[in-house]
Amino acid sequence: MKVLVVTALGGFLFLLMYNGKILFYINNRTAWLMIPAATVLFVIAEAFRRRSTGDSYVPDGECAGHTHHRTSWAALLLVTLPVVLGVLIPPQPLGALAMSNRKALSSAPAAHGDSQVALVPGGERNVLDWIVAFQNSADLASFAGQQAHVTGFVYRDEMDAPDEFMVSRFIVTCCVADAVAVGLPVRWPGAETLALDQWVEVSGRFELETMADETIPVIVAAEVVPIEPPGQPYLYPR
Amino acid sequence: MSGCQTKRLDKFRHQGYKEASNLQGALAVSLDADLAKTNRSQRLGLALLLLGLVSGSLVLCHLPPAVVVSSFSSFQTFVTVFLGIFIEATPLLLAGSLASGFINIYVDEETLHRFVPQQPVLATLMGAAMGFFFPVCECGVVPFTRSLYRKGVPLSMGIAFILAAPVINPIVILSTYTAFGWGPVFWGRIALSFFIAVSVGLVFSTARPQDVFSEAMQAGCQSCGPGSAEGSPTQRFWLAMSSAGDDFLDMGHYLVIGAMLTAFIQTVAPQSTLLGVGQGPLSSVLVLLWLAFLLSVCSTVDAFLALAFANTFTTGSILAFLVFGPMVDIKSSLMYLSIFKRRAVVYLILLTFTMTLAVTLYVNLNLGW
Repeated sequence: MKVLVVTALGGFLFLLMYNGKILFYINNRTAWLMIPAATVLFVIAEAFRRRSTGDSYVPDGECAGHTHHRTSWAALLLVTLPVVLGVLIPPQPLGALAMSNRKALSSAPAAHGDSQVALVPGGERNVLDWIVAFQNSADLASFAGQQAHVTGFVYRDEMDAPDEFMVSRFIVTCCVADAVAVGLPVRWPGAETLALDQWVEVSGRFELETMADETIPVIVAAEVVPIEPPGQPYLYPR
Repeated sequence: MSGCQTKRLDKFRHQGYKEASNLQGALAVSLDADLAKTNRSQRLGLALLLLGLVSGSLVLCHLPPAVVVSSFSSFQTFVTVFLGIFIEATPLLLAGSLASGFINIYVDEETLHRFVPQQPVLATLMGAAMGFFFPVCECGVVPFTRSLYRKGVPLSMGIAFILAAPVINPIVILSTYTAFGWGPVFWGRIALSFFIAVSVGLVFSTARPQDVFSEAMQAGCQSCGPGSAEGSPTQRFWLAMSSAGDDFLDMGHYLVIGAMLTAFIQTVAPQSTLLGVGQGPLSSVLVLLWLAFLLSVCSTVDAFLALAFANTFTTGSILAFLVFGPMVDIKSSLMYLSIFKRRAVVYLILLTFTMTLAVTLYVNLNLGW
């Protein structure tokens, strides 16, 4: 019985601890739910404690068996697993290393294809904004010469030339489970020296280039500055 | 033990059910002997697994980075996605547990009984509509329906309720909205579930009750029904909370299994494979129907698991997962057997399966969702 109390409490502490890093896992909009959730867990732990110390009411007759509900050990251990894993493995947002089985897309999922992007001034657009702008525009050539100032993590694969990399972000519609990586190609002489998954700030101009039979806008970078990973690494629909 | 309970006990012993948490308290106490044996070996097995995981990750942290970077980073991605699903789901799972805990202790179906219409079509419609008001997950719906039947609710109404309630209740609606927003998935889930629940209920309205109800039900066994606990308000409150806690732990461990499997698939399976299967109008539906059956995850949170497939699988298959899963899966099938005969449960599964398959296949082939 005490194990149940500990488990519930552990869940509570775990959730509280995470309030900073919790944005790596879930949506901004629902993060506030963790506080009431943790409170409820605390109350449940108290209820279990009362039951085990015999404080609580036990109905007579047929109902007697009903309150002595047995949760199997297997179930208990399984529920402890998220806490264990969460504590042991340092919280990491999805980054370049999560892309071992997926590719950075150059088109955004449907939920993000918003024409509101046109209202965002060029200097403030992020990776996703640019990609949506490209998708919604009839003529990519109109982007040549425009200034770009974006942040993202570095992603390169074997197909990239020594001066190419992708500045990428993970796009999340609801939660981490549906995260998709998108990226903008960047041309910069020092690309080879950049570490995979390093967060950078890229400033440059768009030029049209032909890559793999496609003519796409590529950022010709004037400056690539390494930065600290942001507190909120994922991009959400505007 | 009363004669009623022995009969039921023998029936379950024959069929080898060991899931104590699905049976009623009285039976759980009598199955102690079997459980003790299974529990000891289960405990040992899981302790070893946990120990292995802990030591494994500690070791990995100290190995030279180049050696294990790819496998460790995959594991890290797996953990991130797994925890993402689990943490996002926890508040809603708690909400569902609280609801079922309170329904268990506070709600009495006597009042419901007075409003049951006689006409079968209306009764079935009402049964499905009742689902909107009861925030029960598939686990909670079975004991509740059992009590409803004992109060004399018609067969078709109970069936419509049992199929609809896990899907069209407020908490599930909220979680579906959180995961998918207002869209075809959201509305489709509600509409299709309602439609299937009512149709299957109507099919069963032509059957004779004695052919459908299990022997235990027909023997008129009384059990600890909801609302029969007495005590001061404070006592009832703590009783409700501990009942909620039990439900949370029960549903929680299925969530962990489901989230782990989903996160695993998402981390390990190459995107091209997922797309290959996921874009086929028939293959996507069949795969997700099968997965929905396998992962007996509470309907209040299964939307978050479905998200992992949102970008690679067809909308029709996601819909199939979200409609079929709450109605029929391994855990709920076992629970249905406590109310209905085996043959009736098989018909229930087949009917729901075929209808879901037909409609979602149509969606994939004809509607560009």
